[in-house]
Amino acid sequence: MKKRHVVLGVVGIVALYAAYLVGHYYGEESVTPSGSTERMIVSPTDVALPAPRVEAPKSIPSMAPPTVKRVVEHSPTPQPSAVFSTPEFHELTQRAFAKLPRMAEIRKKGRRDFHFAPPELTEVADELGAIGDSLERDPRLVPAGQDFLRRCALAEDVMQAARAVCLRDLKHWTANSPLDLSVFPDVVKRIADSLPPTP
Amino acid sequence: MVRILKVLPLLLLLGCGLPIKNHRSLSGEAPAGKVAVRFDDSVPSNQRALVDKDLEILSNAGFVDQSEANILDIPDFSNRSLKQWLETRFSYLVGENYDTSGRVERSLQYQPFLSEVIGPFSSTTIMRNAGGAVYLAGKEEGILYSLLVGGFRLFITTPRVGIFQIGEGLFTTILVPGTKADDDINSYLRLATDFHEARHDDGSGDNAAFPHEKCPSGDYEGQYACDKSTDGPYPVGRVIVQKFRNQCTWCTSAQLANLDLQIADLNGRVLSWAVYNDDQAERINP
Ligand SMILES: [Zn+2]
Repeated sequence: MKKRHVVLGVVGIVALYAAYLVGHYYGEESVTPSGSTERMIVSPTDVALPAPRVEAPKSIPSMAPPTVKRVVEHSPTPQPSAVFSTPEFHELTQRAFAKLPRMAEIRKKGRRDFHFAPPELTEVADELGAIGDSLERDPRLVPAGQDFLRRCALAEDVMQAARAVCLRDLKHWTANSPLDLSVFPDVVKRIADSLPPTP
Repeated sequence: MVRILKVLPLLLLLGCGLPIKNHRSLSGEAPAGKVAVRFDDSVPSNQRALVDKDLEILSNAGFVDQSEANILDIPDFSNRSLKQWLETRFSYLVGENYDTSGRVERSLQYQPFLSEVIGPFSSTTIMRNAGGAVYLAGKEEGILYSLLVGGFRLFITTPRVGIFQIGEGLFTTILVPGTKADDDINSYLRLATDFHEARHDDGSGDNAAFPHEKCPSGDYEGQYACDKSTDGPYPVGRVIVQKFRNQCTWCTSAQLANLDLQIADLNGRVLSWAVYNDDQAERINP
């Protein structure tokens, strides 16, 4: 009896999977998107017979088989950050200021390829997140938080992207009091204004 | 029980395996099929698995906010539109040991143009559009090149040929601190990189392959790390990061700060005088 149940269960799973595949491939029917049009703009003078764009291999394609290994998901569950006392928060902002990305230091490490952002850009993210969480939970920390964010946004040696995130957050946490924006560079203001709202 | 043991590996092999645990589509929209990309044998299996997972997340991204679709020249950010956009461009992946020098097929007369200088591929390089680079080189040298990818000989007659070289950097450099390569947040960043590189498939004339512009000032002054197009590779990558970020209700504050720093960096790379450029890909007809 048990064995029968197991077999039935497996058959059920296979049937569900088959249904999934049908839906999957049905959903793959596609049309050319509007942005995909290609056009010919170059006319070569050499008239030697060219090969087609893709020449199929003579033997069985050696293209690798579809990936069968599935990645096990284990993204961490978001953990609330600690609640800080005033001295601890001060220490946090000191640490954050020291970790802000600075191009001079990044170049000193020999990094030369900036096609994508250097990993140093985001090393301060943990501290920025913790500062935001702290200000959200304890309004008494807001003046110290504002001070850190202002210093960050004004720091000329810090990467513009980080200064812009600080300025955006500074505007968020000074929403009820005047903020002199004229002291911040236009480029930092422009990037700050283009960002999603402070979380 | 023995039967179960026999059938389970088969089920895993078929790919019914594990669902995306954290990424949750907010639109309620049906998943699109996964982008069909061909892997060359030079791509290690662990990298394939991660790319595969990234594409699975994209197939069910479920973006609710439809703004800025014009950057990709798509009608909306539906799963289907995103799949079609990427599938048109992101065709072949080769590994970092793959030789991209290409085989000379014959001479051709291309129109003169200014090309992007593409540096050597190092182990820390994240990804590059090898097809676009070879196309630009051929155009500059007046040579039609071909590349052998996974048993297929591809004639590089357009930057849209869609051959991408990925390196270990895609899985190690793009890594949110405190996370693993297969955590969803890293998939978001890798997908943004895929879309960035896929934009290098497009454009024509001086804008063939949407080359980057030398940054006149700022952190990247003097580097070819800025865009003159409001729909160039940096804005394209940025809009993808931002869509995921805006829907990431499960991201920690630190992870959101990480994504915001990336978004700020990408926004800062668009020159103030940038304009919208036609994304139609040029093609030669040899
Ligand atoms: Zn690029």
